Amino acid sequence: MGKTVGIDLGTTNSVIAVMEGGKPTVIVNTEGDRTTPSVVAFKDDGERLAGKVARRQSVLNPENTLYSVKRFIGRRYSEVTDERKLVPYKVTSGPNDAVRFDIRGKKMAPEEISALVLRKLVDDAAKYLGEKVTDAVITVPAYFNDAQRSATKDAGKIAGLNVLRIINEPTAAALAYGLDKKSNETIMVFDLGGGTFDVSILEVGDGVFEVKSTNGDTHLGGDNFDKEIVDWLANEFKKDHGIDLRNDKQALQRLIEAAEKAKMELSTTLETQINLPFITADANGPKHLDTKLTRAKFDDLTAHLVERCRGPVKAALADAKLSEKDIDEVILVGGSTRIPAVQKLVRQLTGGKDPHMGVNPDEVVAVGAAIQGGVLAGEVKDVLLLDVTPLSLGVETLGGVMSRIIERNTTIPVRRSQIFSTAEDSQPAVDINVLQGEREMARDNRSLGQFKLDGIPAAPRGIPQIEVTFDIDANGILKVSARDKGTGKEQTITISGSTNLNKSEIDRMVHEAEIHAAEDKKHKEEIEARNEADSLAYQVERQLKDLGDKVPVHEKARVEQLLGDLKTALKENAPIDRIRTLQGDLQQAAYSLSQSAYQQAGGGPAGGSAGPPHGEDVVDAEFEEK
Amino acid sequence: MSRQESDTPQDEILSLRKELQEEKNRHLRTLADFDNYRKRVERDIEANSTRGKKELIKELIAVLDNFERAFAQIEDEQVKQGLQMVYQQLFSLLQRHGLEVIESLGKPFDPCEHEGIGYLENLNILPGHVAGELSRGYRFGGSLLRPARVMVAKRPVRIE
Repeated sequence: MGKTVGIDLGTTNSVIAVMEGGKPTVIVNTEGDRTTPSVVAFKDDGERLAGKVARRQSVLNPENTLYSVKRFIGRRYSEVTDERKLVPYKVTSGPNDAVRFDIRGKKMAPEEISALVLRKLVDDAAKYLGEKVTDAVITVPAYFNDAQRSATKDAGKIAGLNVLRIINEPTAAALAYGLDKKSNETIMVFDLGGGTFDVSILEVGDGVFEVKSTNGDTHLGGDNFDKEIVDWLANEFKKDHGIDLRNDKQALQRLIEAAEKAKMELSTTLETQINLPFITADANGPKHLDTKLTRAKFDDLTAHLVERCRGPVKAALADAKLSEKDIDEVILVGGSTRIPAVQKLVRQLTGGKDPHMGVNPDEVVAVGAAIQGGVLAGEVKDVLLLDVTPLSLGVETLGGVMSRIIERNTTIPVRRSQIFSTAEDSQPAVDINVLQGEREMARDNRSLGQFKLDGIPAAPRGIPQIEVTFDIDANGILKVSARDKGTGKEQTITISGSTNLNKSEIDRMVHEAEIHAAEDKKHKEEIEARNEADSLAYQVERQLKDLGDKVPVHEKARVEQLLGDLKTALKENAPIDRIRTLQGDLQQAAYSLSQSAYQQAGGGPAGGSAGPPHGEDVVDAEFEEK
Repeated sequence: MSRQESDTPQDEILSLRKELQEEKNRHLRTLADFDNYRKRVERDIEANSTRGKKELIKELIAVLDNFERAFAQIEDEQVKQGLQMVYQQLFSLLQRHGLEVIESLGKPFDPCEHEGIGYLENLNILPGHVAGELSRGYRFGGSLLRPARVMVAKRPVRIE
């Protein structure tokens, strides 16, 4: 059995997605794009083109290049009188007054054309996935009637697909946000695409969606916004230079591209520079277009377009006999919903509700269709819903620092271990404090439990190897064990419910960590510096002891003096800068100490450290002795 | 999972077998999914390393275009020559990084590499072939970066 895909067969662009390992993925076509133009062309040699390639030759071959076919699918010839006039290809009538296209003398049904778009999407998907694609879920607008739905299904069949289901676009969008799990909620889906605007009101209960009302504007979309910018640029230029750039094909092309780019930029910035050097020339020489477009100006230019969305939303609410405060969820679909003024209007019309917009609005419908496909193919139900650890887990180490063992958002089940050691000579036991949270210091995080591993044989600090293992099973139960690798002695604690925190608590903890990130980091660095200094003092002390009287007396006295200073500074919690200076001095003194010691002993390698050997995988964080 | 008291050991064995089979299936499918995913990630990593470069070069092409527009309009030969050197410097740098020019003039119109802007009446070039180039097309790393914008030849309409 091949893969099941979800297809958003759009008026201007189409998107295809698939479930993989339980997650929806949008498929990239052979041109490297995530969307494919819904355009089909027939060349004079009979070759058929679909997608971007077809669009590139549309100007040369307008009568045999079909786009916006979705406006005709499943409709009668007598119903499309207006649409017919807007396209350059020939629309005629077939049996039972059905719409047919006249292409190079051959009559073709809209289903056949849409099938070619579907075929292109599916073929590219098969290439991408490396396996056959057989089954599909295809989306249609909520207002599509039976004839339009069955024609869309037929298009799938003609393309060789087994169409598992035809679902509504707004329903697919709601599925992409997992809203099928809600009970008795009212959802508004606001879909402003490239050329059409649809608003739908849905009700969800028991995993079933019901369309309460739909409304829209079949000729309103992103292209209208671009055109406003083009006209503004051209008018301004004409005012300044007396030349209408719209009459020059090439200049107009540059204007259109610049307008679209400017529109996109203004979704994230407050102003953008439009820079088109050598846009044209007159008797006085070359002319350049160099202007700034602010978001305020853009909003001003397009206010009437944004305003055109208001009526349909109000009408949809009225048809559903609802008011704005009855809406529980709002979903934004279509690239044009990235425009800040559009989002502002949506908020205004839904009582200030924050809309869902986490999923790419160009892809959300296909993503939802893929999820539906996964459910129908039994994949979604079967795939274990893999959970993640909502917060980091770790242990407290020397100086009250949290040492992370499992980072937040790690997929479970998971098992991680790290090796720690002791902080003092002959330390008989280590305390394991199991922590959860994102802060750097142990005290700012939540302690999930504590236990002690004792019976560690007497050894210099840093020598014992204590392996700490965190193991979270598929049910979120955390088992922490500490094992002395020397003796094999082990202690374990089991903590359940480490993953089922409520969302607001997780958010609070993550948020707090963000706020305190800088100070926490500084604090942690200080403690690490102190630990390092302490470790150096310890090593030098041992070195002095080991070398005994091989060291010249005056040098020994100097090192002892520096050592004493550093230890006092550490004990008195002196400022970190002072500790760093003292540490540097001591390090230098220690080097020359061993150097002169080896020289006296008959010249061995200089500069070797006489400190205790560290195991290779010993982490430089050590347990505090209690 | 609780089983009914009345289940015989035989029933239990059967249901456990079935359960095991399902689990095995699921496990294998996840493994397969993961394996495919891993392969694609490897492919994607490769693609990504060129994608960043591709994005940058794509934006720089607009600068190349503007140089060409400038040459067409600058009259001072000295300035033009200097500017041409700057252009050449930029262009050969981009070429070293994998930018290729699409030769379109005189070639049959091919929407895989050309974007048709209109027709030109021309007797010297075969109909359906490229008679003029409004802006250059480029490839990068073997794939299309931007199609050439072209005018396609057609026979002049005879006025009788």
